[in-house]
Amino acid sequence: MAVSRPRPARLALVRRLAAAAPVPVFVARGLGAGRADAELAADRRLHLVGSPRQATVLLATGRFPGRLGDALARVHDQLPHPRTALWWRRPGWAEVPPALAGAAAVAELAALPAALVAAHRALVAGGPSAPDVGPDQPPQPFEGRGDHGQGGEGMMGGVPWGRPMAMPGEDRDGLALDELSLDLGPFQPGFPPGLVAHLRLQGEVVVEAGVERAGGVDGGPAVDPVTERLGEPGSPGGRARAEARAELRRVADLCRLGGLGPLAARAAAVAADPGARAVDAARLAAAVRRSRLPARWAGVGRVGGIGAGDRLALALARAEGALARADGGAGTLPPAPATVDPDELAGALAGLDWGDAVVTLASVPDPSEAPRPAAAAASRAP
Amino acid sequence: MTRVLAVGPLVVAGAYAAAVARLAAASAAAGHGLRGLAAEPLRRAALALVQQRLATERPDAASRALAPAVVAALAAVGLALVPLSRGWVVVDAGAGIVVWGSLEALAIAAVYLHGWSANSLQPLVAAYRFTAAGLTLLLLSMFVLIGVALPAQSLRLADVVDAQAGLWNVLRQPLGLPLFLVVALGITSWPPLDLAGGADLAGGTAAEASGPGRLAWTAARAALLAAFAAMGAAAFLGGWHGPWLPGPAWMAVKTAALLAVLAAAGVRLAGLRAEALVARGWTVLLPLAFADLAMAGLVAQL
Amino acid sequence: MTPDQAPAWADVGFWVFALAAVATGYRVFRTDSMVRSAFLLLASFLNVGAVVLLLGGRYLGVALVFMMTVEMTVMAIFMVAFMMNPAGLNPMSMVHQPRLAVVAGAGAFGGGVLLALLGEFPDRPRRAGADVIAALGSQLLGRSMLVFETVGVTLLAAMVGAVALSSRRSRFGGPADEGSLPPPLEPGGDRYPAGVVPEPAGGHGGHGGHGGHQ
Repeated sequence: MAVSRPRPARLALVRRLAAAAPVPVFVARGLGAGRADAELAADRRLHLVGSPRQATVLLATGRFPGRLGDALARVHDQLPHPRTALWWRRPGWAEVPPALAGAAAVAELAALPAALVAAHRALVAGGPSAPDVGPDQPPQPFEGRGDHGQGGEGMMGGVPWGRPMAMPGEDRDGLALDELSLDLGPFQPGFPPGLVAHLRLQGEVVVEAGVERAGGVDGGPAVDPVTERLGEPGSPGGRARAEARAELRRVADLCRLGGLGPLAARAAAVAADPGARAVDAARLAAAVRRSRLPARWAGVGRVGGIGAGDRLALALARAEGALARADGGAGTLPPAPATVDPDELAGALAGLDWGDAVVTLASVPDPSEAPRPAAAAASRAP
Repeated sequence: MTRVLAVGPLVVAGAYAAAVARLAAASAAAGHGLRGLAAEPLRRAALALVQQRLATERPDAASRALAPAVVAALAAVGLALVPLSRGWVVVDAGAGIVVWGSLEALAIAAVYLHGWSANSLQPLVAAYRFTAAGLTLLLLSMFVLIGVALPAQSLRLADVVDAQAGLWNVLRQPLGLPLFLVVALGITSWPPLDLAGGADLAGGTAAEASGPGRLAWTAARAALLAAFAAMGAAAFLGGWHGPWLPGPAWMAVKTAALLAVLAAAGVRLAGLRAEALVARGWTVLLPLAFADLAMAGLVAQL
Repeated sequence: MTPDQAPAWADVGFWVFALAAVATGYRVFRTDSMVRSAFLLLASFLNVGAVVLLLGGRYLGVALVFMMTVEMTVMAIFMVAFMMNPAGLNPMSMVHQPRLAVVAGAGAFGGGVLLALLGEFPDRPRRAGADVIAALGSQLLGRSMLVFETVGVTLLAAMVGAVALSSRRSRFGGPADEGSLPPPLEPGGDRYPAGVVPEPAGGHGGHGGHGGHQ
């Protein structure tokens, strides 16, 4: 897929400027790490990007069993040179996906920004770039058949060169548009770990959807070493703070999906701040409301009666309530939204356009995000 | 003829100003402070130059390379049309307003080509949803610009600016400038109306762009936004009119002010979804544009 | 301006744009992708617009560019949305009724050549400094306003009528094309395009709108 082999920049000035630029990082969420990487948005030196084509560093978080490892290898090869991979993991994990065989390992969330910056600077200075994991060939070669090198016969349909041609189907407006099947995820930015959506699209409208979670609930709850240091998760203060943190990470994800990077950075900063107070969350909620993002998403992806915009507002309200409780206040938390049945979710996706489908999938709660006691989490460490 | 040489530096300066405005607004909104922002576009550009340029399987290479060049050329034409001082304009088009309209139409075509030529899904979908909104905004811009031509009784941009010697069009036609800014954001695909981009589509038409190609695309769109800001300054904010400072200085100040407004909107406001933008465009914004034109016509009659 | 007064660059420009218009127009039918053909057609029109600008049509040339850009972009959009064979993955011919087209094209070209060689064109140079655009505006919005307004309303009525006709809601509820079939791929054959299978009775199930009058 590459066009030009990478040449190290000749001008030292270009290299120096590039090393000082914000590090473009593409995050691949694996099982067991939840949305913890959302907190990296707060760091000015990092730039969380939405496409692997833009990144120099691939940050893999958590575990990548089976198919997730294969998907990770494909994403790894999509990064342009110079590139490298970094893995946030617990020490002692036995299973190493092929894409991360040469990746540096980081054990703590707090150490990630510095590690990313160091990796980026080493790359730009001329350090080794990670080689391809898979073969650099198309799955089916373009060997010509027809008169002009085409691969099929007849006017339409068929599978020329292994690439199935779209055939028309009925559209909601009574037109006959081509249909396309594709899989969204598992590393779509904003998705919870391991979520894959099998979509059938006409144009950009989802006609039919199927939702699958790689690894299932077995992926485990958010394993957050830092939270365990803040206080015993059993005590109300630490538990409330962990909940607020999880909600704020979700807010940061949704703000990024909505195109509000600076608000995501603010949410990430409040999430990562061990001394955050309810008033910080309140100010953040006011800023998000002023941006009209919950209003824009109000009717999008209604599942279980609430749309994506309502879920965003709910997450902000819960974060504020949880921080108030952590400060020692009485306060009640609005109830967490119920987890969504995959079939109901798939039904809600039909009729949405692609962007709205991504927002819906990113906003519904993931079973792996339900808070669980720390004792059980420690015993499940692989 | 030598005035044409001024267009190159104008385009570069415009792109740089738009980039700095957006970075400053983002930094301020995130609470990071404005330290070291002047060189930030250079740093990001240097990083893009260091990265490898990737290509997808069998793209339309000619269109892929042409799209940023066309957008940059359109930005150059736009900046060439705008009068910078009394009697000083690079291209004095007799039908400047119509040239501006065709410029917007060609920009839409260029963005569509950029998305289609990648032979990939996200860019194509982004190009489609952008074009649906873009055609709506094109109509909007035409009504707004015709309204601006009415007090001047001419389609020449120099006459439009001269007609604002007494009263700026932003006061005479209050609906005009907000609608024109919506058009500017939509057609350049700049946040908050970033339909050809968008985090939900992995970057939209630029999802498969890396390295120098990505830099060219972003820089070209930034230059086009600066051209829109300059046109807004000329058509609504009185152009080079102003006390004490020379004409070009006032143009620079007004353009920078509009770029700051656009950048602040981009970081603090969430954009409309594609469906909502098209629906609101036809049901709310177009009637407002009609109203603006009707008011302009009535005022011109009096 | 008379031919004697035209600067040399205008002559060179005319030949460049004219030849480019013909070349891109030819390429429209020799390319294998619908979007490329739409944008090559746009390129051809842009070159024609440049020629019109060189001839002094300062408004008409720009208006031509404007309108053709929008038209070709809309055409490209619909090409990709409805074509079942994008970008030549399957062999496809870009021309329809080639023999009739050749005859018609040759005839039109011959007629144009005869007109160019034997016609008598007016030889009244435009006054230098005449405001062409203002004159055009006075003509459009003055003497010819009734014509343009009528044409505009007629076009609008045609568009509304086309949408109404193509709408799938019939007057009596249900789909308007219930029971209708596209023609078979070969005359008298039994294979239908787009995988359509003729059903003995009924249409494709309830796509109906509301019952009663529309």
